[in-house]
Amino acid sequence: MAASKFKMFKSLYYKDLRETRAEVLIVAITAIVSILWVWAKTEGDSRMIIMVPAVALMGLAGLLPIITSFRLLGREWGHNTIYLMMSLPISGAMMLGSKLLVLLTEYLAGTLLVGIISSIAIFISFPDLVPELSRQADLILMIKILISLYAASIAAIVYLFSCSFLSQLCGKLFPRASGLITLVVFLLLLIAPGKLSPEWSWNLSYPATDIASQIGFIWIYTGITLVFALLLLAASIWIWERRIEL
Amino acid sequence: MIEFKQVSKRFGSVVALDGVNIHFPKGSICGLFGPNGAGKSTIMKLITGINYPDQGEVKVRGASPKAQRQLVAYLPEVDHLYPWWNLAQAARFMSVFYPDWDEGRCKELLSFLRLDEGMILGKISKGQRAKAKLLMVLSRRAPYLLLDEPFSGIDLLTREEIAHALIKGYREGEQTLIISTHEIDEIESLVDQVVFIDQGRIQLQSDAEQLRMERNKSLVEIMKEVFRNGSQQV
Repeated sequence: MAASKFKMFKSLYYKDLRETRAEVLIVAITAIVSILWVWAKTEGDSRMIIMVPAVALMGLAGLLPIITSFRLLGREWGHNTIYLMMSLPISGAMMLGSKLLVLLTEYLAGTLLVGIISSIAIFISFPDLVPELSRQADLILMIKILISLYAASIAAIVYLFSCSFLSQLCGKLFPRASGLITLVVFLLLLIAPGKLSPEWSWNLSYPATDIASQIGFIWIYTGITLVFALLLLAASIWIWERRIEL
Repeated sequence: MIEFKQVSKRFGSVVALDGVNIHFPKGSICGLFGPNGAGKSTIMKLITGINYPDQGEVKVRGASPKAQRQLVAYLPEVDHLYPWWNLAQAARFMSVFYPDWDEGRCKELLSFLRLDEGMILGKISKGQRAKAKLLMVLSRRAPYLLLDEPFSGIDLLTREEIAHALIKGYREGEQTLIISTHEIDEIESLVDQVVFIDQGRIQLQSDAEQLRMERNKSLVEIMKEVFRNGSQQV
């Protein structure tokens, strides 16, 4: 009887998920403590300052999974569990895919927690905010903008995870200079889209004159980022399956 | 059947294997003997598919090792299980990936090896970790069992326990067991086939019983003789 691929994936996912518990907890506790602290120190309109820790915490919730991505893969070598991983009858796609999903879970959990906690604090502080906003602007459009920006952030973080995987695996190909190669490849992969983007992003965004078109551009940008992320992931899988040795 | 044909492997300037030809017959217990750095672990890794030959080919049941990973139960020299796992978690994880996992056998061996499924791998002694690794291998009905230095750094009593567990857990005729070690004493009586390797070259490959009869010596004595006198391909 063949082993279920879904069960294997689930098993790999839950094995790595425990690595992210501490980070999600840190983000949640910091969010609650800092927002409560700002709440206690302010009153009236000045409570809008809650947005400052909220934005900073969003950054933290985005940064921690990137750090985790280095720990999650690097740890396999550090603990010699790479011997177990590489001898399992599974593909590189399943191995790296499960790790990617774990990191994405950490990002979603962290950002959603910060978003929910700060939104609750703001809506309690300013109960008239939603009716006021709906009078002044198109709420549906605002929600569409938020969703498209969040989707773009997810694509960007997936790209960063793929950069992290590819750079680490490139580093493992050169054991004597593993750390240096990882750093150089990671930085190159970070710089590359910046060098490439002015050309194509300008061409794509140029015709966009209204907000709806700008949202459309964000979605196109999200799609392109995801394609690049998947290309890097495919390269990582290829290295994992064909080049990594112990 | 596992076959090596003219296999060579280098790690930088170090030659790990040099034109090695080996044939591990089905259903036998093979001892892969040699000093540290002889190339024993490289042979194990090539069979598992976690290393690739630079030249030559390795076949497991006629296919590439990577394609046959589900047929191989591998015990590496290093501690390869997650240190925060307890034995029950490790066993559950393995059972998901290998349909040949035998839960009944696992429970039986757990008690035989005096282990507890609540034991956390990072918090137990080296001997217990060695037994835990063995448990993960012997609980499978895999056609090929590869044990890389199962006795390394283990005290005498635990070595005996491991050797007894091997006798208990091995399914004669059904499984091919390959044990690499430089400590022959514990398994001298178990092996059917022997391969002596040094500096990446096969020094001697033969049927264990036939070798003992021909030379009227123990495997330990034969090994000393082989490594002292150099290449004696049989």
